[in-house]
Formats: sequence, structure tokens, C-alpha cells
Amino acid sequence: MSDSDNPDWDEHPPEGHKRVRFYRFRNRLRDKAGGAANQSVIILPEVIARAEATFQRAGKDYPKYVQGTVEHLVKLCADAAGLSPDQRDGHFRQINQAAHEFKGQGGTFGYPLITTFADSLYKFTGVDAPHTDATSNSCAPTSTRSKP
Amino acid sequence: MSAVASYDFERFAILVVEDNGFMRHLMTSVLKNLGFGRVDAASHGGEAIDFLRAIGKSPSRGGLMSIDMIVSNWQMEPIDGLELLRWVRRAKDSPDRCVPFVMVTAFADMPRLRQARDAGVTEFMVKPYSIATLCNRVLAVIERPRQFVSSPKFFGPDRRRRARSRGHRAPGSEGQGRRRRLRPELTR
Repeated sequence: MSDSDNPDWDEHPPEGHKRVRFYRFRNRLRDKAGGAANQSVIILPEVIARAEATFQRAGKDYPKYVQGTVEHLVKLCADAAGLSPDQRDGHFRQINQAAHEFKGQGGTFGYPLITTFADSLYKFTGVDAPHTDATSNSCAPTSTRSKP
Repeated sequence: MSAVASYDFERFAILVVEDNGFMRHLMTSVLKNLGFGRVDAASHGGEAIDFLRAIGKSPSRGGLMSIDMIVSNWQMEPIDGLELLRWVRRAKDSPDRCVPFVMVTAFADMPRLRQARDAGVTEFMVKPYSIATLCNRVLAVIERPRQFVSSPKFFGPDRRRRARSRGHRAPGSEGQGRRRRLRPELTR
């Protein structure tokens, strides 16, 4: 067996050597999908239309889903406002994650304003954003704001 | 007139990994409507790893021999899409280290894209996306598979998507613009 056939070569190549291997596989997926070589194969328009219809239906349910998540966000903000700064990390992380999700979803379902709002909220609650009492106060409902 | 065939995904098995129930249900439904015969879902990377491990140990589990493609969200807890991708490409108990992996994310910045590429991602789909984008990514996986590269620091689809153009310049393109140099980062 030569050095290059040594199975340890990849993990521990001799000093001064780097081992690079290239693997070219048969296109199993194309075979499996029924696409013969040199043949023009497409996804039928009616199949795409069916998937698009599913997408549109989900878009109609999206406002309901958003409503639920916004209520959850308001609760998180209110809860965070009542805690000391060292106890708020988890809340801000959850708000930040929800904002990240909204960021992608808004545009997907045709609500670009949600994406804009979510992008702003994501940056505001991100790890680089300053977490001070003032920022926490500004996002809490008026009734729960702490007095200076 | 030449006949145009249509793809039949009935024998395909796809794993969707998405923590958001609404989006997971949507992606699963859309893929089923595109004709994918089997669509399994996991709510985070850890659940996906357990599922893939189970397939590796018992390939005939539930009549499922292998997964043909993974479509995963990036940001998830406790194990995100990037960690899942690293496990798929590097773990000894991964059932298929070469399985196509489509990363779906709202992170559209270049450093993140590089991070996913260097972890061995096959295709990258930035949110917001449409059915057309999803179909394009699926077709790219099926029609334009890249060679796999194994080096001490990397395992995954060739990161140099233009590598095949080496030495095959389009007629009449001589002298137009600066000549593209292949990055030697893998072969050095």
C-alpha cells in the first residue's frame, strides 16, 4: 500500500503535504427523477401552480399567525421590563429570534412592512445593541414602564 | 418537435428541518405538492440528527432507505442548521456525508454565506423566497451536482462553482476583461 492509500492520510498527512481528493459521482438524483441524459426535463407548470396555490393559501393564514406572535412579543417586552438587566437576556434573545423569523416571512407572504419592522427590531435587540434600562423602557407598554 | 419530459419526484425522500411550525407545515405541503413522495420534518437540528442516525442504523426504518435532500433553516435552537450541516458532512455516524443540503435563511450577508459554503452547503436560499426560487434550488441540486472535495480542512461540494470553465473560454472572449484566476485555497 502506498502512502496515498493510507486511510490516516486525510486526518494526519505527512508534514509538508496536504491531501485533496475529488469525488465525482453518477447523478443518481437525476436518474431517480426520470431525467435521461441529453433530454430536456422540466417541472410541469401545473405542478408548480399547485404548489403556488398552497403558498397563497398559507399567505391568507399568515396575518392570524402574525397576530399571535405579536401578542407573544408584547408579553415578552412587558415581562422584560419588570426584570433586572441581568435577568433580561433570555427575553431579548427570544424577541431577537422572533424578529429574525419575521424578517424572512414578511416578504415571503407579501408583507414587506413586516420585514422592515422585523429588521429594525432584530438590530435593536441583537447582541451588538446596547441593552439598557432606557431601551427596555421604550419597548414596554406605558402602564408597566418603570419610573426614572 | 422534440418531446419535453417532466420530472417525477415520487421516489424522493426529503427532510425538512424548521423550528417554526407555520413555516415547517408550509414547506412540507409545498414539497408534497411539487410531487415529492416522502417529506419528513424535524423541528430543529438535534431532532434531524436523531432521525438521520436512526436511518443510518436501520436503513429500512419505516420503508425509508435514505434521504435524498435536506432542506434546513439556519437559525434554530438548540442545534442550528449550520451545526446540522457540519454533522452531516463530518460525523462518522452520518448516513450520507454527500447528501445535498439546502440552507434556508434570512441571513443574506457574505460572511454567513461563506460560513455555510465552508461547512459544505450545496445550495443557499435566502428568505423571502418564492416557489420559483425553491424550484430553482431543487433543480440546481438535481441538474448541476458538483464534485465533492475532501481535504484536511474541508469536505463538501466543490466551492469553486466555475472550476469547469478552466480552459473553456467562450469563442470571441479572448482579451475581454481580466482573466479569472481559480482560487488555489484547496489545492495548494
